[in-house]
Amino acid sequence: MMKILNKKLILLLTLLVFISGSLFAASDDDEDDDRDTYVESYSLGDQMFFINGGVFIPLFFFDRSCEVFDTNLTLGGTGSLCWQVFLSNHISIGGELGGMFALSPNRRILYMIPLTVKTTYWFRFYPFEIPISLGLGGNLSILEEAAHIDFIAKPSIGFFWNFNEEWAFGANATYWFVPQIYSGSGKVESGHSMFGNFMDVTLSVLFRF
Amino acid sequence: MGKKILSSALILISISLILACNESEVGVFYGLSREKKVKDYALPNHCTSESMVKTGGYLYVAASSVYKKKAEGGELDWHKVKSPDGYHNVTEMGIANDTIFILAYDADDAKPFLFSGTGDGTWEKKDTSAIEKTISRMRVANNTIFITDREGHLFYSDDDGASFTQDTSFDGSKLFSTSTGNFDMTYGGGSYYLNAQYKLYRGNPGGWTEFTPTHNGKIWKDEEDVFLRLYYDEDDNRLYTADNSGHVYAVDSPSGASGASWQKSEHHARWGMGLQGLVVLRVPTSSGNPRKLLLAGSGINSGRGYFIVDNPRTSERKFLDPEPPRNKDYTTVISDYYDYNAFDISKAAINYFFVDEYADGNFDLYAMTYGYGVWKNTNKGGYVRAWNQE
Repeated sequence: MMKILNKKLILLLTLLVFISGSLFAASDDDEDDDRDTYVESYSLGDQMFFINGGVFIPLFFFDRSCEVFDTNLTLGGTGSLCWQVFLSNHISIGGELGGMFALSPNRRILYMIPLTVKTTYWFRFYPFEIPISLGLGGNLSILEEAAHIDFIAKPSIGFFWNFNEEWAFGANATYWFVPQIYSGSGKVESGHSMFGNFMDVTLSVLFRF
Repeated sequence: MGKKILSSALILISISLILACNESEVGVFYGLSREKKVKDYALPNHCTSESMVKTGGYLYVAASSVYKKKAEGGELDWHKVKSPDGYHNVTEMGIANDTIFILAYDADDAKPFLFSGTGDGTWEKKDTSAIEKTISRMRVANNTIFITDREGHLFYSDDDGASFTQDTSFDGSKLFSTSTGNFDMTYGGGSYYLNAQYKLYRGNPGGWTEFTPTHNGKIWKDEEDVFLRLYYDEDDNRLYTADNSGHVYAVDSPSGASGASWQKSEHHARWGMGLQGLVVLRVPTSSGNPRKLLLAGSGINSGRGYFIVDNPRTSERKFLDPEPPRNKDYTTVISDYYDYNAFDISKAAINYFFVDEYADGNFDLYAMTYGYGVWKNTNKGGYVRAWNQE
């Protein structure tokens, strides 16, 4: 089990390093572009709508003592609808409603339905764009008769190609961090608190209006 | 105004969701982190089955697939036996000379074929070319295999299915005129007994005489009624059958040369249902004298579990009489033993009963149902018995 977890952690760290490198590079290029010509692509009030769908990748759980556990989940499916409005040329804010499913070893289905407020910073290299986002909100987890609403944080990075002024197509990688805290006041004892770590990779269609 | 309504609705939904949470006593992620794959050795809960056999210390049941487990309580778990290659949906099973015979359908569910095996997953397809029409039903009695086709013809094999002979010795060349005719076969006291829908026969393959229950020289059942299962009680040398109106018929020493005297239950099962499974049990009691019970399973259209007749031999024609049992359900007569009302088998249509006898006289009773799985009635100690789904 630990071997699998280690592989997942290495994969995750590699991905983060890659993302970070890309961002710094992108940031430099962006500044260079700004020195040449600066044309604002978006302004306050411009809106966009995303439809995302892809693969859900369970990573690991850890408990309050930071002991790591396998999720025992299969690869799953995920999808979301997102609406955002631009506050400035580079920053947008909005909301995202998502959903996922994955199977347990006994074919029980875990559903999670996150509803988040999402803020995005856009790096641009026409015709490409790299959005970096952070979504914060609530997440409903359902496993047969067990259900719980938790906080969720969803940092993500994307890569989009602008087909025209309205349509763009791209991909996203999103980390799901779900601290599932039980106070012990209900039926579930506090020792069952676990911190869920997941990831999704989705394809995305973006429409601006 | 609209925003207020929307906000209120969202708040209500949120509160409902929060209140709905934690129905389990296990945290969602915690439960997942501890979950291990459970090997499910139970039979499918909604399977249909109508046959079980015992051989070589194992029980075998046909429930779409063949399943096996050690007999006489030696094992709780059932294990699936590999079906014949390219065939599935095993519907019927019988045993002749310690060889298991099954009917299994081809891949497109068009036709059943006959196979034999020893229960290890190796099956031999039998040559049934003598049966020109599609096979319909199979019964095995006294090591003879009987098969009907969908036109109502009867065939038999007394050489372990190596060859089949068409039997035209009974009244008419067909047992019945449709593919859905009831057919059953049993053996006892040196004779075979054959149910052919509206008639019963007694005799041997190739030599049958009509044996339909009569009273004062007339056929005793109503004209439209059909016979369902046959059961021969070896200990009492008594043959039982039942019809689709819920009457039970019995006859002593049926193979005797003189005219056998049939008995018919004075009352039929409630709701006018057909009775499918029949079995006579001898249940150990604290007095040391076994208590004899006749169980009659309710038919497919009713799904009411089964009826119990306490001491059917001395009750004579009164069996299935609602008096003197204390309640309307006959089953409550022996609730001490069978706890009938506590279990969901009371909703089942029972196709067949099978008794797995132990060397010490104890036994497990299996009830094979229509779409409700297989149930086992076993001794829980102290003469208390209980049903559990297998």
